[in-house]
Amino acid sequence: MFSLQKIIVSLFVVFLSVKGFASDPYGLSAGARQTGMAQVCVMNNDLWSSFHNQAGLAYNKSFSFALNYENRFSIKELGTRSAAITLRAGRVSLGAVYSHFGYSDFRRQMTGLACGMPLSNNIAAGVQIDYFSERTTGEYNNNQILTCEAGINITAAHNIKIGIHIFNPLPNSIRKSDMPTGLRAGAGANLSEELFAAVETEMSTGHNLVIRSGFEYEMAKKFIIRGGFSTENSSFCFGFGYRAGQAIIDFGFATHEQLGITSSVSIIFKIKEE
Amino acid sequence: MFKSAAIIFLALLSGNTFCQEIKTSERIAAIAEELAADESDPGAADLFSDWLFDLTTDPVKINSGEEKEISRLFFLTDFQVKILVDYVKNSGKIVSSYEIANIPGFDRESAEMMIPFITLIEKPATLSESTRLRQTLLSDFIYKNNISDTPLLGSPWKILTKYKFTSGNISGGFTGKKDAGEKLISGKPPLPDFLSGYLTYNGTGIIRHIIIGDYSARFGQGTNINTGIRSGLSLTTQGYLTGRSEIRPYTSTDENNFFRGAATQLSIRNFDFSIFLSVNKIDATLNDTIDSSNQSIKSFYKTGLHTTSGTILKKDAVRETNYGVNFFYNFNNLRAGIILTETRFALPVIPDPVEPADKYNFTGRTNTIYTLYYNSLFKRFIFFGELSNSGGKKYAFVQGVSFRPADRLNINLLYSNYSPGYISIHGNGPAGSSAGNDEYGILGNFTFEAAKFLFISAGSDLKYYPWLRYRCSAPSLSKRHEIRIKYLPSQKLMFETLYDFRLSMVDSPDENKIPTQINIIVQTVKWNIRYSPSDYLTLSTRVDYKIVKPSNSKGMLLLQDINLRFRKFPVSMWIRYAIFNTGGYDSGLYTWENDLLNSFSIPVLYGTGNRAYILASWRISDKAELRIKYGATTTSVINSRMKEANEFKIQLKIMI
Repeated sequence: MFSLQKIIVSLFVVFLSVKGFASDPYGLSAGARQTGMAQVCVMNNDLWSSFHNQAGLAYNKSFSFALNYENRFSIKELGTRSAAITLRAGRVSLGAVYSHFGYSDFRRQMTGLACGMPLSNNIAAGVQIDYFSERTTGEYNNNQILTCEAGINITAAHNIKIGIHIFNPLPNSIRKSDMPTGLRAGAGANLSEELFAAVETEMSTGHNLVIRSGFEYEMAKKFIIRGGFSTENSSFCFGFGYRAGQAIIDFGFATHEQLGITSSVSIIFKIKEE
Repeated sequence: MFKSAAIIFLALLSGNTFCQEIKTSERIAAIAEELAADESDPGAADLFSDWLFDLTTDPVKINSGEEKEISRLFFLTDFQVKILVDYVKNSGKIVSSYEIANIPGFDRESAEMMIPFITLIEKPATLSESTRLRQTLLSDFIYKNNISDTPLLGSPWKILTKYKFTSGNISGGFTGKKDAGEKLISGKPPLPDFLSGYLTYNGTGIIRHIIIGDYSARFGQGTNINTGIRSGLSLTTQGYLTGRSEIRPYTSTDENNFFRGAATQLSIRNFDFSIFLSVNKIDATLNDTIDSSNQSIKSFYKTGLHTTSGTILKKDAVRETNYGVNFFYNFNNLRAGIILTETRFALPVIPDPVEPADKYNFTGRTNTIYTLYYNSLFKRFIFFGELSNSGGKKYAFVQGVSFRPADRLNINLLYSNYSPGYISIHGNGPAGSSAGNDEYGILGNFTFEAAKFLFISAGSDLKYYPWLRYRCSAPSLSKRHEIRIKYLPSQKLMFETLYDFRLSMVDSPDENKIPTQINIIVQTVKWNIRYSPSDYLTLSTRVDYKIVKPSNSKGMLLLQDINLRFRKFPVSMWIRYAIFNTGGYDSGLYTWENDLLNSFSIPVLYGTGNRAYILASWRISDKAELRIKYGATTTSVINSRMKEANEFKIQLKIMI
């Protein structure tokens, strides 16, 4: 006899793996700014770079922390809570991240330690060690995975940025898990003082190629609006943010062609700036 | 602890990286991928790498101003060769490789393609320098863990050794090879599975060339004799469209398609004369007969693999004799020649069973071919053509024109017609297939510098097959269209987009009725961006998308290359990470890889998975270089479990 709980967990796990629901469950999204720009962020430098491209940490000059909550399709069981902290230590910038997805019967947690540093005037690199933990109730196996990710950021011109990021690049024989690997590359340009536009592409093992584009526009002083499109699930995104002193608060929304809207809110505090 | 480790890692990266200065031209990589994808000519990519390696070891003396020397850059068009010759004669020596990009008819892309293979030195400074003994030894050891599930006779290592010496006009060398699964030493006398060698004399007088040992030959357009690469390499890549006659030492590793014996080329004023004789043993499958006196050849065995007792029986099973002559006369703007060749097998070729599609394949012992060819320069046109006959109404006809109406525009047109039954055992004519018979078609392409830094090239190739073919039991046609747009806004940045369309006809898979033909349409789009943020680093990102109809199988790929070199050590590194997802083999994607010297690796990626490799080159001294490559391909198999195929390669090159 199957218990109701097992059926729910099974459906949940199956639902997670359905193509079109999410491309790579280990490719975590964090930051409402990123959500508003359709996750076009591999070339960006901000606190959430630990989740997207650790090279972006290199340009961080403050002790900061941030919190994010993402509500996927208005289903609380699919919520993701994320936190990040960064600090400057000499030439390098260090970061620590935590993410929690799921609910009491299925949860996936990730903890990461990151480091980013400039290699030259226009090149920066970063690495991160990740620990994933997946827990399910009942007789299902729990899963722990240790892996890493790395990236580089390049300032090609004063207004053009390029980012490349790789997730879980270890050979299968070393990592002993079937966790997908991922590769992202993108470029963005400050088309004016107010407008930033970018495009990027991403692919994960077993998933289709995704192309994304997004923009960010400072509509009024301290008030920013964002938009974007992703070929994955034909997702349109939009969002806005406001800088209030040491804090930045952002909201982001992403549509799914079948499952509804994902909303995200995040807040960043810059405690001490060099 | 973590911080320290991270700092060490990043500092190592930052302190010691600088740019990979030797960038393989995208055009070369594109040609290599195209050759690898041509399943009808599996050895072409290897041959291509051999020719390029020959050029790196003996760079073309661009300032010599001699057409014969400059035309060794086989990827240039005849126009480009002529322009270079005229430029050196009229404007003086080229003082910088980058000067080439400013010569009319050339661009930065052409110049980049040439740079690794040319020298600005006209000739050696002294006589003793020119006669000094130069030797090169290259040894490869290659291991792959996925070669076969069946028991093999030898070790899984592939071992290749090449040796070459040059002293003045004399040069020589040998190549020894053992494929994975073959015995290192076998036969009587005990020798490597494949051993090839040559001794050659190059002169400037009447005797231009003498080769004793193994050699390859190409005369005219190649419909008669061409053991090299077929003309018209790529639809959107110019060069090597018109024919160039040559005999050259054989240094490649195809174990069957070369000549063994002697060849010579004589030249008296405007008259050239070549003669060759070859007696070689080639691999074949023999028909089963009780009486050995009635033995015959069932088919030729071309893979060169002798890893089981069955394949060893095929090794050197038949003696093949080839001989021929080539007369060639240069009337200023018109050059014309006559070729006569004959191939004889010790045993008759009797295919069994004879499929309807094989009706026009070669049978018997002897094949004789007569050929007339010409090429002519007239103002901004180059006309070239060839007519070959292998007896009766069996002929091959090729006629082409290369037109350069402006410095920034080049147009080519080629018509080819291989009649039913025309056979050339060692021919490889333009626009033909390796089967080489019973097809006709037309090919056209152009390259155009549409604006500053913007290059557009496009081509179309139509072929008609009046008789049946493999997997197609009715007359059929194939089409191919390609367009390539390249934008090079600066020395550091390159954008390229390519669209390729292919249509071919095959039998419908429905087996329960008389087969009808369906169109297989393959469309591929590629985007490639290369960026060098500094002199110390080159990044390249590539996206491929392919769709096959009617199966609707899709293939996609995201690939990232990083090339760098360590500053404090003479070490270069090439790192690649690629993720692919294809519906099957038919939508698989070919990806050119940096590899050992004198070698290309162009794996076809299909299924779901990723491919990564790291290649390091350590220049130990001016006389020695060590290369090591580790590659891993992970693919998803049943139940999403991952299967990994690894390869490890090591190479030592010594030059004294």
